[in-house]
Amino acid sequence: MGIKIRNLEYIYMQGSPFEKEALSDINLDIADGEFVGLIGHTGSGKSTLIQHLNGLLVPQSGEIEVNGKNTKEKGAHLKELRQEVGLVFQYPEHQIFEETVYKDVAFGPKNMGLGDDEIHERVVEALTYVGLDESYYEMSPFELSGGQRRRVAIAGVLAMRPKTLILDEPAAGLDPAGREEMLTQIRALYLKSKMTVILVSHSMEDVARIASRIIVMNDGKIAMDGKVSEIFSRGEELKNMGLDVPQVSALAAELIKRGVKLDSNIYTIERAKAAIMLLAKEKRGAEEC
Amino acid sequence: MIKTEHLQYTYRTDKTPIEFVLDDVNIEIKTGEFVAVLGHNGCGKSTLAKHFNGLLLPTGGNVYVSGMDTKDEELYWNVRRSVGMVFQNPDNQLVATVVEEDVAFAPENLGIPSEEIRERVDSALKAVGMYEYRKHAPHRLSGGQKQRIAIAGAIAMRPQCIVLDEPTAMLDPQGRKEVINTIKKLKDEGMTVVLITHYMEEATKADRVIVMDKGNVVLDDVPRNVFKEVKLLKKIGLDVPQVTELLYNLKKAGLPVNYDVLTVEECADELAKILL
Repeated sequence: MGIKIRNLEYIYMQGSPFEKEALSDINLDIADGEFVGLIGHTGSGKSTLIQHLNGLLVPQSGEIEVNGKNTKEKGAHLKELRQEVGLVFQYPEHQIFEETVYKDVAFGPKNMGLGDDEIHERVVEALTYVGLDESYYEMSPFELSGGQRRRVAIAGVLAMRPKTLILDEPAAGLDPAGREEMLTQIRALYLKSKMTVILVSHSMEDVARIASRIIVMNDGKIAMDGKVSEIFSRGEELKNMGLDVPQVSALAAELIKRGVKLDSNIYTIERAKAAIMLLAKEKRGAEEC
Repeated sequence: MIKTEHLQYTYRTDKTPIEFVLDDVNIEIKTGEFVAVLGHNGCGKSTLAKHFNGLLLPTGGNVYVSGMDTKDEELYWNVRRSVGMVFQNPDNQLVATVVEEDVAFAPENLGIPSEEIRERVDSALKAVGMYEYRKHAPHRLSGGQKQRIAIAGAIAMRPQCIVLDEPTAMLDPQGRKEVINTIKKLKDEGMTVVLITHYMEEATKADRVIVMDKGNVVLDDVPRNVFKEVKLLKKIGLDVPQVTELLYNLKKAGLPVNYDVLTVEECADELAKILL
């Protein structure tokens, strides 16, 4: 089923002097189970696009189908859509309001009208996914660190058992270790749950490590869409759009320029290491002959 | 410019035992220096920064700003004027509906004559490269531009030092670049700069890097020497630039390379030696 977007357009404050075209001519297919990184400069239309995917925004023109449901249809349909597409906003920890971790995560399932056993099962599952065990259940979210609070907020969305999970900058403001932990958990969650994951990020290093496909937005349009290695071999174009490549991709490009026989498909430290070890070995072999 | 002597900051709540957020911190930041402060969340670096302009006062030891003891109530405003602060979220720091009015906010509060305010606002906006946007509405600017306006607001106070607490955390790559270039330019013009950041690549641009852990300074040196400590930095939840980590890993795997590099070019030089 997946996500199908056809000729999507969206204009903010249409008809006013501040009219701004936020999205134009968006055509996109995301299959079930994909892990997509969505990048683009501030104001490029990423947030507007993801808000369309669970019906928070309705297309002004064009169509969006999520798991076979058109997002323009209202009523029960829309409620279902909101459950199927979980949206984790930036700094989601600001949206926590319950007295205990458990209650906060239970809030969504409760509103769905589920029975207590089912709610319990979902809360435990969701909190386990984000690495918070029983000892946290009765704690006040406000006793937790910022990174832990954020995981509680994400668990609240996971407890709805969405088929598609959209995360807007889940690692923003975290320190390197917190960032690493967050990314590892998202990756593990993706592998275990078979959800479709869309990750919005300003960190090229992060999307390079975790996504398998990257969509680049620029000025309300899709500027690039492809495999990670394809996208990060186009460093100059990305820079012109106010983006960047991971530092090791820039290194690979520089080495290629200097005549080293590297491929341009290097975007993580691990890949760079493997490729260079191989080259060094070949060279040593050649010298010994 | 700024000196801390046995600086200690402790607090306690009803539930928890006494917490040493800062524990005997002794550092000196010289006039005109660009210092980056690194540390994981909760290591005390923001608490430290708030001591630099008297937003927080030491519970033990002393902080001197241009020789002024921040605990001296009579010097309170002089300290605040000497050190400008810029925080993470630009949207929380902008108060006016027109860029130039926002930048004028602080000098107006200082009761400065209006011709001088005009002059200060113009030069502050020029310093951050936002002069042409002086009549724009701040909320319609990009993240990087907003943060540059926040910096202009701080330097319109004519401080001798600015302290930036994760000013790029919410910005895209272009915005990060704009802010870092602005900081470097201010430094070149003689401003003392303290930059708190989680981006290791930004810290490589500083004259000096201070690494904090559990309320203590654990490293304090030029970037090259700090980032050589790959193992220690990783242990305390920090990172090193990707190129440094790559060479560190290659060396561990037995390749004859040095890993005291900070930039893509330096790393390429090092690798070219063994690959070409």
